[in-house]
Amino acid sequence: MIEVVDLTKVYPNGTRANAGLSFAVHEGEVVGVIGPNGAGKTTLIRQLLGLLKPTSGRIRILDCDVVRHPHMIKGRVGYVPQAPGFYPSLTVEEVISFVLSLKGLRGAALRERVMETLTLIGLEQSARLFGYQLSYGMAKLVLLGMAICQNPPVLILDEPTAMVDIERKERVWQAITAARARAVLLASHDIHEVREHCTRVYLMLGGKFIAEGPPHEIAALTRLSTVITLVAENPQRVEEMLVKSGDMFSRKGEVFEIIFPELGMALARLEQIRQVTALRYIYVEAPSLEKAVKALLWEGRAQ
Amino acid sequence: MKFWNVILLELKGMRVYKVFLFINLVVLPFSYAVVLLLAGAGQDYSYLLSGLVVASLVGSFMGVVAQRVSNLVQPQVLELYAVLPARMELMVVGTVAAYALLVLPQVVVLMGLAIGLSRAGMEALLAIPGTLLGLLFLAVLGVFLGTLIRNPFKAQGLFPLLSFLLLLAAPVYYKAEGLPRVYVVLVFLNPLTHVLNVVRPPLGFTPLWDIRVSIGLLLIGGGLMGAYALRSLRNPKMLERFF
Repeated sequence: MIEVVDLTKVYPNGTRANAGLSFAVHEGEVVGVIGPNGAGKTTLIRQLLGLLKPTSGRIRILDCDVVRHPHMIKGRVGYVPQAPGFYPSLTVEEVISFVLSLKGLRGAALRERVMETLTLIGLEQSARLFGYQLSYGMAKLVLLGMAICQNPPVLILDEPTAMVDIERKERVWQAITAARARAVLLASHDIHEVREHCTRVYLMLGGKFIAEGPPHEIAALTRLSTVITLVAENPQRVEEMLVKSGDMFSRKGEVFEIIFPELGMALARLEQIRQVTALRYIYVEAPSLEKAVKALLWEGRAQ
Repeated sequence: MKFWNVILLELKGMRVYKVFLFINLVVLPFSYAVVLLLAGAGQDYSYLLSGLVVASLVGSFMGVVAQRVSNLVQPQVLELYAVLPARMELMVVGTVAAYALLVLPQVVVLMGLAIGLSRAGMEALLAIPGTLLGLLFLAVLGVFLGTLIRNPFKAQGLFPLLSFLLLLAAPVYYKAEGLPRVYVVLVFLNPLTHVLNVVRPPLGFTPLWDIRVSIGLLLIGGGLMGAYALRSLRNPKMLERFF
């Protein structure tokens, strides 16, 4: 569905935004691209959208060369930008209706599709709200609506849930799933979102992919991969034990975050803690994708 | 049909600015017209009114078009529109048409008044095609400026400055005869003078030079600027050279 081969972009001022990127998004996949700000995600997306010419390399979407035929993506690729831009003076339904009318829908078919889209994004009660009345989360949902109302086979999402509250995050992903796009490319900073929804992940730094694979494989690439977060009845006893055992941990008030090289060690220590104090809260992340990503980025910068 | 949808979108998009639009498109130009009619005793009203129409088109049409086009070619907007089933040039032309519709009432009323008050009789009606040519030229100039100056921070300062310079070095309210020689050259180089030179002769005023020269220059200049703007808008790789 999306095929990128040896993609390199050097801006006229000599800045190398990405170098030798190769990846593919196959039918049925949700592929994530994660990386810090300035890693080259935006440049990659702009090249996929046909707005930037690659210095070298090839981009094919739906078997069509995007560099040679940049307009092919119109109506065939849905895109949700990072910034929650909106038309202040248009209502939610007018925005969706505008996109669909450009696609040639009229009359009853148009109204029906607008309603379907509003239901999909959960804004049927907000259809008459103007852009300036929308929260960031709602504006993001409208942008998602603009993308999915066209039934595009490919979706490119640039941080679709940034600035969106927890409840609406779930709604965003329900809508993305319901849209049944054949392939989704997700650029995100949200590790939890990537872990939950992506079949494969590319970790980007300095315009290159420094790691790739399913989220659990990325997490297993480093040894700092099991994290326990807990709140104990007797935090003092826990701290004493952790200091004595030499574990890597941090404490914020009553909340401990303990990092172990492997799951077995983490579970053994947990058992020991339970013997000295009761636990009020516990969260085990094994292996921790977030920590693994941080470690990989740290290693990548060091090289 | 897509074209009408873009126009409708733009017009609906202006609902929140209705007070601003009412003041700029109705209150200011018509108040100014009243002032000209009251204070312009002894002068030719149709000269002043035709000048007001052209001046108003520069400020409330060309400047706004330039600002809006400059906004349309911002990275975030380009990204969003890249996947919409309409080409950028259609979005821009639709936008310009929407603004043209908005300024049309003041142009019709004020030019109608200028024609009605002129001493040229029925021949004054020939000022209408001249005005339309001027409107078209200023639309192209606005689009050209919008695609040329994409930096919104520069645009905010440069567009009003350009409008001011165009109005300053054109015989909008004063006569060009008797001006210092250097200033006449400046006036000749100003495209606004040529717009005025196309609009005013049918109203009974002596042309500053052969009207065909002005028509030719407006067509050639407009054509070149239009070609540049079209080339920019058709080039999807607009973000290659940003700011």
